[in-house]
Amino acid sequence: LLLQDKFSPAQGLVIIVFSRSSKQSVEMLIQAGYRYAYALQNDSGEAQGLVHDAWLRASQSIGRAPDKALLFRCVRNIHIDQYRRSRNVRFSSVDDFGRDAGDQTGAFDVEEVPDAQLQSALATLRETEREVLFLSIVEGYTAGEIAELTGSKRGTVLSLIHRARLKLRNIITEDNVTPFVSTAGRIKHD
Amino acid sequence: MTEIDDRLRDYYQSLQLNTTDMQDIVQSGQEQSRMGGIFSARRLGGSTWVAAALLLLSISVGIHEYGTHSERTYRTLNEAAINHSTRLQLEFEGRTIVEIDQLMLQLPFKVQLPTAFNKQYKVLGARYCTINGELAAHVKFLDRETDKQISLFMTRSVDDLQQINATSEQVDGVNVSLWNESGLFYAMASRFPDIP
Repeated sequence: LLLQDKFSPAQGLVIIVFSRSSKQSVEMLIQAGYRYAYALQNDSGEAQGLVHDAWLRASQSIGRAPDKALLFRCVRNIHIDQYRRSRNVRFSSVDDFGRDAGDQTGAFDVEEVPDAQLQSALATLRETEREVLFLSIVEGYTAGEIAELTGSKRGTVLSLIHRARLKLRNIITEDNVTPFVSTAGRIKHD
Repeated sequence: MTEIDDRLRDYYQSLQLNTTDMQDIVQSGQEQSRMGGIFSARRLGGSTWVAAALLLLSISVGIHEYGTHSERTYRTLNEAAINHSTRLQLEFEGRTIVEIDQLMLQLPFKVQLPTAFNKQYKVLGARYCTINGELAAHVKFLDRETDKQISLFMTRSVDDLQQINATSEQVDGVNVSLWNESGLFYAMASRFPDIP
């Protein structure tokens, strides 16, 4: 009724659609920030606190809802700040990535891996590895964009994504298949 | 590796904040925002939703303007002035800029002085901060002649910051200079007029 008094039906429809889509986009943005925080922390409570702080900082700095790039930068920077305060967790540089991820292929269906098992497999990865996997695979960031966000070289990011993916697969494979065969043709027996 | 990617995507997409937590975050952000009252779903209910929708409409227009040169410059000038004025505790002590650089390991760049920097300043210490959402170094100096403190902020010259032209302005009684140099973005702040 209020709409009919002040606006034409077309104008009212635009306002309704816009208000809903804005609310949805803000919520989607926060959910994306939460997932990124989760990828860094691997803990729902910590991730919730992190995205909350990041959202406040980002909103405060520009006086309105931030875009995803700014929100992600704030999530990352606050995460680093928290690490610096606690100093009990190693936030490894992208360039520090280990070289222990050989390609090992097992014959099982990855889609059947339960969430709990995937979560514990992800927990064994380094923060940096989870971060690049999340940004690349889930968010669809390019290596260049990840390099920009993390302050690393594009080549390093590409290498890290590849190795992290192999490492994750190997961890899951070890939990599911015995024996498994590596690409080098070796057969590993437990 | 597609199946791993698909599984990871499904896993992360299944992670969701519940409605209550989401509301808390949105409302907190709304209180922090200078515009206020824009993003709260609760306030869009009842008889005030039309007004809220209109505000959202005006914000959408504003979002197109967000990121413009003048706004970025203004925001960065403010950040530097506030950071200088709040006198937060310095976390790193070092006598030289080289020592500061060696201590601030989380920075994705080398801490270095700009070319026009006055050598008579004594390093007091440094801390991490953010400029335009980028992790930055805040280094404090003492001008031995005037016994006043000077703040030098530096961060990577990302696209947004590269577009800021060199400028000097006074913000809330703080003189702030901004400029890009050698791949870094610098901001210098002090309470007295003779910024180098």
